[in-house]
Amino acid sequence: MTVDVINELLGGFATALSPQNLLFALIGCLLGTLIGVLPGIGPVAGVALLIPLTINLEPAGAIIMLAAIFYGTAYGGTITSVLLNTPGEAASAITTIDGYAMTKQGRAGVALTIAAIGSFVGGVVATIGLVAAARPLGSLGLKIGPPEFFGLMVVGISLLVALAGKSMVRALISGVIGLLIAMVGIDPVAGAPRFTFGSDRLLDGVNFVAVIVGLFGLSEILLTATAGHRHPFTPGMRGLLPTRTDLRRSVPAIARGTGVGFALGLIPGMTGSVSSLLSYGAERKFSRYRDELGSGAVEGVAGPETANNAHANGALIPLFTLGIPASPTIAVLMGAFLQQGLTPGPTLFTEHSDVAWAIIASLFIGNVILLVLNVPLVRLWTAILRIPEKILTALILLFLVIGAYTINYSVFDVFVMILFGVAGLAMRRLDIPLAPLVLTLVLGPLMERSLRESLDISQGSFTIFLTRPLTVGLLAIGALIAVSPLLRLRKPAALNEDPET
Amino acid sequence: MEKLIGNEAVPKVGPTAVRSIGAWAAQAVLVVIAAYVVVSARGLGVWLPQGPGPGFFPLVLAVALIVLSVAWFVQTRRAAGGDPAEDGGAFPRKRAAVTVASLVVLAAVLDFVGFQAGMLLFLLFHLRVMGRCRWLISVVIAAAGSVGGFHLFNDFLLVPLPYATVPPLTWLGV
Repeated sequence: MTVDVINELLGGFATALSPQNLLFALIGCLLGTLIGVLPGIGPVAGVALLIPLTINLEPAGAIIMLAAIFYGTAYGGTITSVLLNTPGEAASAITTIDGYAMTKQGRAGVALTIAAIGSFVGGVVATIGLVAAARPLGSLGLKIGPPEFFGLMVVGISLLVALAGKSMVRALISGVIGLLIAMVGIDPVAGAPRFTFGSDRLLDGVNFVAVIVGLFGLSEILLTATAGHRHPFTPGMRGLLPTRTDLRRSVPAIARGTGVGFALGLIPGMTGSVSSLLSYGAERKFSRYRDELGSGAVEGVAGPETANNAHANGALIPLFTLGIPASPTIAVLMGAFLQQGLTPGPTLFTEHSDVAWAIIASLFIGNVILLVLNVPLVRLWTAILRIPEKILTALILLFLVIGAYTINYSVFDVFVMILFGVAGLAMRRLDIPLAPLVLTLVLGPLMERSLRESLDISQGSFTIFLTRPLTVGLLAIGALIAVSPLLRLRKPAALNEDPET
Repeated sequence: MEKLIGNEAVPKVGPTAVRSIGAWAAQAVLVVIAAYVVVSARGLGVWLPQGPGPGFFPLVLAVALIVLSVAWFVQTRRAAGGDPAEDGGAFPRKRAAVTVASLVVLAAVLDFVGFQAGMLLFLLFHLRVMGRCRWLISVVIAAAGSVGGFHLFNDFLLVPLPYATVPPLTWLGV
């Protein structure tokens, strides 16, 4: 069994290390870091925006690049947290406390290097976890028929309860809107066109990339006024290397961060922000130097940044093995899988095992690339941060238009993007969370198809869902998650404040 | 131009009242959409002999949307006159409207004037008029973004962007 896993992983490395795929991983890491650094464009819109560019690539290359973008954003967010006291993305918010304090002491380079090392360790450990989990969970693939798949999708959609944020009613409205958008187009079973308003363009449905780029990218631009500009501090190369004391003090924090991030990454519905917040909490409780936290302690950077990246990589486990996206960004990544004709989940390892293992191998490679590249490139990233925001806004609008246009080489998708940009702005203003919409938009069609295929098998009888043990178990888990708010289980305080929801 | 950039006039009504009106409008829109879906779903066929038809899922969702919108309406009524701290703060309404309008115009003319000319004017508008950058900077960045972007995607990434289809732009081959 273990030998098989190692063989398949080595096969994956052979594919991932081909010059072409290596280049995709490199480009993905650079683009991801750039997206993380740029204000006004978060990981969700960033990954969605680049999907059209990967559509003509081979599945393995496309997903390798998008996955690299996904975890690259986590590192880019750190750079602005440390240098500007402004988190580039939500999961790095807590890093600002000690990271920026270290910058003021002239130790920005050390903070960034320690963050890179921590991210590398966290990411690699989480990927080893993925390797270990892939085989046993992947072997479930043979037992998965439409009813079991429906059960998995119910579990996935029930997670919107966990992503709800302040108001459950508004979260559910967001989820229902996502499902309704997913209904547009040819019905997956009977082939009847639905809600196409007689337009041929809508027969394939509303493109989810255009929807997400509008909702997350354009609405963010519309919402934010041009703010004043701050100049980042550029660390000198000599200041990049941590001292032996820094390294010694970081080791326990990195270990704790890996544990917290990996464990929470496995729980669908937890976002990277929760991991980094809880990891900071762990440092405050267990670190020997806890009194120094808040005034530039290296543990305050090492812990949360490790947790953040361990979480990002760990959260790929439910996606790869069960087909459940744990966060909005991973839902977008799942959409990219689907566009490439790959269905993440247990069947991935039976139907496309070569692609799956190549992607897993690329995660190891990507983490090495991030470690090797990003620290020396800090000067480049700080140079980008010096570009005035009005220029960045114009350039981001340029990329939003190109991204939407290139989905189908048609201005129709640009209009769709604009429409959903306005809708996203309204939703943000009305405190309707966007995350549930993304989740249901991606999972909705899969859930409907599996439900109706199951009922085709049973000739319309719902008892098919009660006679198969695996389906019953999955539906029970989904129901439990859905009613969990009624049980008044205590949510971590961090979840209520979570900016990602 | 000042007005485009400056802050918006402070609304005469309080923020909570504005929010409630916005929420009521959103609830009304959602109910109208849901009603439309209910009518169309029935036309598509809700239940067939072999199980649910194409209209089944949309019908269930539309009914759920109506119930949720009513629940939200009740919540908004209760919250009206409540906590003004809930407001998301002022946001640049006019600036957002101008940005959306500029995007709509760009999308409408893109197939006629082509990517290079359309995007050049779009970027010039955003940099020079909206962002009040200096002329030189505006022109250089707009040219790099439009003409440079076009050739980057067209020639290097092999992602075709539209050419102009109306003279005299077609004579220039842009």
